Amino acid sequence: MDATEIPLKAPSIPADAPTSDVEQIERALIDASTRVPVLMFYTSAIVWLLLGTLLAGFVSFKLHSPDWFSNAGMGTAIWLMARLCRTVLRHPLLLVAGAGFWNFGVLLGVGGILMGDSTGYQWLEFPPYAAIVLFVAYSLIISWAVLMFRFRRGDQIYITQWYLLGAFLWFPWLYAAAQLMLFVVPVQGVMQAAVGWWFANNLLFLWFGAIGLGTAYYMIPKVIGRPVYSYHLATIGFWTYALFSSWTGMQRLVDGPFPAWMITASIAATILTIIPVATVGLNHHMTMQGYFPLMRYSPTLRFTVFGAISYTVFSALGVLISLRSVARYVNFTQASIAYSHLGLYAFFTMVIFGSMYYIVPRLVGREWRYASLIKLHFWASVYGIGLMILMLLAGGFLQGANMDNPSLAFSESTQTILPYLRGRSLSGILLTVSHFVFAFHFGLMLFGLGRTSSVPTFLNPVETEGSEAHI
Amino acid sequence: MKGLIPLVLGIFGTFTFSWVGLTVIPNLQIGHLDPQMDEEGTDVYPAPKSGMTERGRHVYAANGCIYCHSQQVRADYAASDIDRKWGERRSAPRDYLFDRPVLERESRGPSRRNGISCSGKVARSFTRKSICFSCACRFAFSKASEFSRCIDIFCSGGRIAGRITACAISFARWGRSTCGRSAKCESWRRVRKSRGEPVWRGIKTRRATAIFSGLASSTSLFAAQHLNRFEHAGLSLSL
Repeated sequence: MDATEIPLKAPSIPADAPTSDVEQIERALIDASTRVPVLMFYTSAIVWLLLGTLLAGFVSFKLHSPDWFSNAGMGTAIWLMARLCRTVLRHPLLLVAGAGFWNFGVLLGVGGILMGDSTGYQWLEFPPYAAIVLFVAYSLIISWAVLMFRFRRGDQIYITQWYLLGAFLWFPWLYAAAQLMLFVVPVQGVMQAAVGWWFANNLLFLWFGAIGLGTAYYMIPKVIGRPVYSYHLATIGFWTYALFSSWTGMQRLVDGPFPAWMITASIAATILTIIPVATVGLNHHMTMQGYFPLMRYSPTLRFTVFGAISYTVFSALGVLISLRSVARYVNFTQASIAYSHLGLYAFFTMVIFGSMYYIVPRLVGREWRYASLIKLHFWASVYGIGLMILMLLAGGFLQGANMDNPSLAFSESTQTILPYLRGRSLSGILLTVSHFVFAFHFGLMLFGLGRTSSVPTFLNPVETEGSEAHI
Repeated sequence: MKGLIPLVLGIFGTFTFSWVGLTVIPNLQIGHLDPQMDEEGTDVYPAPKSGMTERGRHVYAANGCIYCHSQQVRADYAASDIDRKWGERRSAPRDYLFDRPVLERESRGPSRRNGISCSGKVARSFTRKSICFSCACRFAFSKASEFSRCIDIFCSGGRIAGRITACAISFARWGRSTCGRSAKCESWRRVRKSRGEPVWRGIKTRRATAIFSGLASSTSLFAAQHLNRFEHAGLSLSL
């Protein structure tokens, strides 16, 4: 174990308090208990990631989002929960069954879509028979997380746990409410669209977003070995996030056939999300203050900080495109696709990649073999997603401007975006490279081919004395 | 933060607030509408949908049309939808009364709701740009042939058919077959051409008919625009 094992504590307790051997052993035991289920989630996540990459040249990842995103997110969330509750995962094999069942549900859902059974509700395409399996599997998984919480030690509930507990509780409520209102007791007519977008946006914020933010709140302080800058800011950030982001769903329906107040309320809520974004951003920034050079060495930190910054950009873009004057142009264009990609990939996926670089070595007892592969993964992802978002945004704004001009034929607006979509295909190649590199590296780790070393894999040779202790 | 109970209560509270605010209350407001009719109780709007329409909606959903089409006409002050003749007025909640599922989503293409003029240009842009390069429905497209047939019914003409064939080939990877380049198809096309008849590459399938029924019954405008076209081409759609 190395210096990264400094426990997370409230600011009142000095961060550099010596870590006792007992705690080290305890942590090793907790990690060992989570090994099989978490690795199973990760492995299936990566299989889905590759499958998704191959199947659709990446363009349609939203369709199979539950697979990579949720699997990877749940893997990280369970590990974090065990660590932070300081309790071993009891009966991990039952959780493995839950994971298996979940993936079976996803398989059923993807198969159903291919067979033409898509429900026709975006983000809820999986046919009802798959949804039932997913729900049962999820209940199994969530009860483990809640059980861990029940057996937690210590009074203090760390910031990450707020977000994770939120995610674990919000998701089933959301899913159940949407399924009920759309399939069991369907609401009438256009209300279905409202329920659909309410679900979709909350899935993005309250499930993926909450796991992403919670993970960043753990990884950043952990890697640099310094407590979070302010608990008060974190509290404000969490509650305003829960309150405002859950109200943003209707901004995608600007000028739709709905009462204006619904859409206005969502636009207002979107603007108010500036508060959680600013507090979370400030908190991370102040925590990192003076430690930014460590990003040169630590893979986890690099991915996580990139993800955290993307979260700020994502939210700022969300505010911009929700304004009626802007939505007039960008609604129904590629720009809204750019927005979803920013949230799901540049923010969530990058944070999860970061967490995997941290967690996997602790599960398999090996360190990542090639720093060069991690670097390749990082840069291919960054350039890939960066290019994709820029292309979609630029193309989307042009497309919107042309669409808004009735003297131009509609086909002109689709002509305009063609070069940008070619650029996007290029970014797809970069992301494909990054995914395969990562999968290969993960495979090496899984088969015990990582380095046996007590020092984590640094991206660059450590030059300065002293920084080593923090990485 | 200390104490699990305030945390869980807060999590539950924020969720409930959002659920009630954005789904339950709007449902009270617009979730229980009735069709409108004149004094004699005739001229009901919207009219209940036929079984064929239901089928059409299923084809529409199954093939991922939702990823590009909004089925919504925005107000004249908010967008140029009405100037583009995508509809005569903005959409209202009542328009969707019998729609299930409501196929209104993150659109990048024009509205399908109140009809769309089917020119060759649109067809080309439709197949080449929206679908081939960008659209998420590539994955959702269960059967390539199904899609190309829909398009065939939609837009005729040899040149366009050629374009569509190119596109259909890219879809064929996911589908079972396309008749586009087969010898049988080619010879059939030659015969049609020599007779001076419109060249159709595909065949009218039940699914393709269904999807048109689903879309066309939305408004009479669509039917007025397109029925002639279909009939001219020797197809009769029973709407």
